[in-house]
Amino acid sequence: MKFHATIHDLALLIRTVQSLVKIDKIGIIHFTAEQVSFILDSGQTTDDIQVWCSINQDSIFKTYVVESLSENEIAIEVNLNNLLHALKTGQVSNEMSWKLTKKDNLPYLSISIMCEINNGLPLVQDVPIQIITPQNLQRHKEPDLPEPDVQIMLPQLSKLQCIVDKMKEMANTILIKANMAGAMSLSIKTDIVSVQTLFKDLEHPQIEGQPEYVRDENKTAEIRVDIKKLRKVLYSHYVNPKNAVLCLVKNQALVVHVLLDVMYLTYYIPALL
Amino acid sequence: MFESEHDLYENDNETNEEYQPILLCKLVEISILNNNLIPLLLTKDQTAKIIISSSGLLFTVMGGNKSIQAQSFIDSSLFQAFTFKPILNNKQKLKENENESENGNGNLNQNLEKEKVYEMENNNTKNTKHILGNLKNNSNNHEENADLIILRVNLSVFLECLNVFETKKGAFVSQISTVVQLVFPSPNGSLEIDLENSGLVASSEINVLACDFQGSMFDLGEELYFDSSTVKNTLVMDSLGLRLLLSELDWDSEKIIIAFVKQPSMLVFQTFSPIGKFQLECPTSSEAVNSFLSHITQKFDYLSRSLSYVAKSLQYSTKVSLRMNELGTLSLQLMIENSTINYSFIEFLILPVTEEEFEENFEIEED
Repeated sequence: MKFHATIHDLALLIRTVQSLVKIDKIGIIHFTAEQVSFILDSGQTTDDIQVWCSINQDSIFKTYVVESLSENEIAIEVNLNNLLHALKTGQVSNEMSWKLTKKDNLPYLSISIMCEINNGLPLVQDVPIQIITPQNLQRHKEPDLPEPDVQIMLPQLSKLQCIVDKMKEMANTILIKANMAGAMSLSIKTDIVSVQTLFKDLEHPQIEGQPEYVRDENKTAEIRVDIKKLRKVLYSHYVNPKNAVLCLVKNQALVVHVLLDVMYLTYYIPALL
Repeated sequence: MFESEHDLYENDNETNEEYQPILLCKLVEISILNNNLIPLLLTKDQTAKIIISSSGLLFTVMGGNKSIQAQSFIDSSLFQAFTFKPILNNKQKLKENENESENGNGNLNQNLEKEKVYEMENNNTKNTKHILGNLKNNSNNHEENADLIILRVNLSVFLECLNVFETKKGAFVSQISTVVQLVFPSPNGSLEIDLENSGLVASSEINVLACDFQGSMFDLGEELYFDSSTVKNTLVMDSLGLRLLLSELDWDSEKIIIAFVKQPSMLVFQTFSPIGKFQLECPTSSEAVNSFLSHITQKFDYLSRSLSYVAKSLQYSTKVSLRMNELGTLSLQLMIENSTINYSFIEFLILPVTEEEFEENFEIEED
């Protein structure tokens, strides 16, 4: 098993990990020839948020070597806080490289930083990891959900987070309603107060290979989710997405696709019934 | 454009009269409400009493075991639209109740008529500004008394709803203020807040904890009353100056002594804590002090947490007046500059703490 790579776009990597660490501190990084994927799926319970993130490897790595007996794929489990800390240290560097190493029989992701501060000597940070076998990796699969009832483009995620932040102070759950005519509402209700925010004139995504969508006010869906979970998902604004798509699957889940040209993040938030 | 969803017209089957909401007011500068109400958050879950009249909205809160009271009056002239229409068919009931209870409300005249308690000179134009102008000029006018409605709401929730679109730096759509509309449709209704910012609309309904319009407007007994006729010391200064002074105090101290000294004329703050005694003096000749009038030297103790609320609120104001009456009740009136020509005032009333009350409130460690 062999992995080493030099970083090309550290900023994107940091922003991605910053978004993910808001969901869970433990994540899986799956290296393949074309992609680097982050998987946050505790596998313990279906009540947790699941995140599936995939980045074209050549958009963040300048050089990239992955070799293994498992079709040249490697999966590791890492504490994302530790990884983020190491990545942020590298912000002052001219060059950062990653390498899988073993010290005292323990596996590490060794992050090497070349910077002037250390008199030109590399600064090495060993982030502890666990190797995930292909069999264990198979257990982590994206949820198999039916076609969403409604798909709608979200407004600016940072604005949404601002609104959800305020609502979070007043309630524990939030109801998201949307239709296929560009309207979406977020609402909370308690014994003391009810608040509803209405968004209009939103777009709907055009899925490649599928017929053009038809505006339909009567095609609606609503889902209630834990408001804190929704707020965590909205930290994905850190990656400065090009688009974000909300999919409502009635009685099952809220799915948020956060899209950039070179990567995507997909969040699954279970519905509260 | 902001869509008004609250044009409420109900046909009264009995009288065939059309009813409009009791209160409908619109404001294009949400910061006016924030600057005048955020200082009233004395506790995390603050309840406020709101007196609604054609003059405006008077918010009153109590805190610290009723040792501190804060009031903020938002004049109807600050709103772009302000309509107050009390329920017509209750006017008669109101008259009947007042006739029965008139004898028991000797203090009503004093409470309802907010005196012109303080004058501040404008250095440029020498115009005087009157704080907390009259809510009622003549409490014997029963017709006017019918034009008051009192609500109790959770102020913390009210402000959360008001600021759904606001970040710490202001509206998240920069340079565009949120338009706010407040509606109280009927005595059994909720207080509605409608916001609009760049096409985004948010609607909130807050349950009213209580709504009084029949005689209980007389129930002001729980409120603190400041007898301004016995004021012995008055000082006006820049809020920034007082903020700087208060920031130097030892806030670990449980109580703060405030003294108005007649000769040499100065304002003194003292604290006592395990690290020692600390004294801060502000001579009235200081640039930050606009005026000082002292009849006698006075010195009283106050709970430092009560003063801490005032200290936090000074950031919203430009000038502040301090008055102390013969009982030691401290009145601090903060002038809020809503615009170059529009001002409003927040008044804090703080009761002095006695030695017995101090010991009741705080455990004294035995050696």
